[in-house]
Amino acid sequence: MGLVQALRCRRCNNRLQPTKEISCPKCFAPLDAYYDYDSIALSHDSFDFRPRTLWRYAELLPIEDVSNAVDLNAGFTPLHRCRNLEKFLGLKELHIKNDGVNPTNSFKDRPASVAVSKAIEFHLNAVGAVSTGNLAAAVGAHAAKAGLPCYIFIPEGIESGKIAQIESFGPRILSVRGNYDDANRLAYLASELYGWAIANVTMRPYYVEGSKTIAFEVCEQLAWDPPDHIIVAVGSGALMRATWKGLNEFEQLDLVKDGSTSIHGAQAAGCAPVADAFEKGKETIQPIANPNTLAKSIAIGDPGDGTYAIQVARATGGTIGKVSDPEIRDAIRLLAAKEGIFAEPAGAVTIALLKDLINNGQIHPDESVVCFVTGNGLKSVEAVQSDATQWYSLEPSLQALKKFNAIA
Amino acid sequence: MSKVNVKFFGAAIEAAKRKPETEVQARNVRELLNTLSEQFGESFKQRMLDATGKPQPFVNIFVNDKDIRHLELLETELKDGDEVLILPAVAGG
Repeated sequence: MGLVQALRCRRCNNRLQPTKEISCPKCFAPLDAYYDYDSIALSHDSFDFRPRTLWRYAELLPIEDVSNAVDLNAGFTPLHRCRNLEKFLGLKELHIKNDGVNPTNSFKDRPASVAVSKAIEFHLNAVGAVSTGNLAAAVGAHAAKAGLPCYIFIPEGIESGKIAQIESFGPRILSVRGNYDDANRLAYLASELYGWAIANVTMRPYYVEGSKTIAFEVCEQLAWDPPDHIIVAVGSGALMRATWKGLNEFEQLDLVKDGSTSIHGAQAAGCAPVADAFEKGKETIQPIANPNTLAKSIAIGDPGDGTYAIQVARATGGTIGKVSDPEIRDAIRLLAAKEGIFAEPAGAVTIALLKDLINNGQIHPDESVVCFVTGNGLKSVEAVQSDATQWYSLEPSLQALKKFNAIA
Repeated sequence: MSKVNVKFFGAAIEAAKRKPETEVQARNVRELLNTLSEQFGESFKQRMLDATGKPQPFVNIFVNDKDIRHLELLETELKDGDEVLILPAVAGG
């Protein structure tokens, strides 16, 4: 039973009661949920017999009665030690946090589970999302489980695999003839006009609380010793900030030592407003009107938490970098071929950036690294078109098989 | 001067003294915000513009559904019948 003590403005520290507010009435900046940390008693042993889902961290989630949580078993995804990639990249310790194995195959099941549960606690009668695909599926699935009407705002150009998955959960799909930011604006207006609980807009302060559990899990899975570096994909920047909040909360509760983890953000070069601002030493993001990358899950031209992603990078000694579409495609194949993990483009940006950070000396070979892979490759098979010219084609005969074996 | 319709959403309604909609005569967005500041007072102005006169980071302004950051910012011209939306920055993602 996580009891949110207050919502606090990120900019002016204004404190509000934990209500449905999403922005500070004084300065319009985003609000974050904070708990009464002094009253939370957690030790390493506390987690021994808890469910292997994100709900194992109930004290640090904003739901009053966890037995009412809408639970599809999101979270507690595997952390893979990647010895083949370590050897290939010349790195001492690399782990992949594979969030592509969540119920709807992306990390978005974490915030969706919390947001839909909170919407029910607020007695809201419909939920929704604005999404490049992954959140739509996650909210659609959790809404289906909860039996709630669901409204999904999507921009043009979403991959067909994602569409098929979203449709199957039966939400009302509003296909906006524009980009993600257009869809985002309409979803916000709908939440204001009709009271729908749009997970990543109306439920924002609570929604992001689900995302931070990925950082909790990494700490736990590394025997309470966080890595030297974490690399996170950056679309809106929310996951990067949530990762930082998660680490800070575990430090505050003495579950891990005071942090020395650098958090790095990875963007696609075709939509890199946060990386560009970081490179120029700015904190204000200049939005991009027409994102163009195969990493559609992070193609957000006007990233709501971009400024905060930059703050996290600077506060932790991290960076925000960008990688090209060909580099992303190579990273998908590298991760699959070396470690057996098939990532979507937005999941593989972290691997592509890792290569750069090693090459330019920002990550030392003796250090430990965790890369988040936030979505499954089956979400966007278009990104890795198969090349049948590389196949060996043969007649269905023993003779043909022996011929292949002779030349192989 | 052009006569435009302004709609406020979310925390911006509170800043506009709980008036969700108003009509304003203005040639561009800068004039529009100045006029609204006269109407709704200093606290409205402080919420909209920083000390250097630039839009505050968490205010989004749209003219006919276009973000002024993709137009001419405060110099974005207004025509008769334009619709202006003023809302807090919407996170998404």
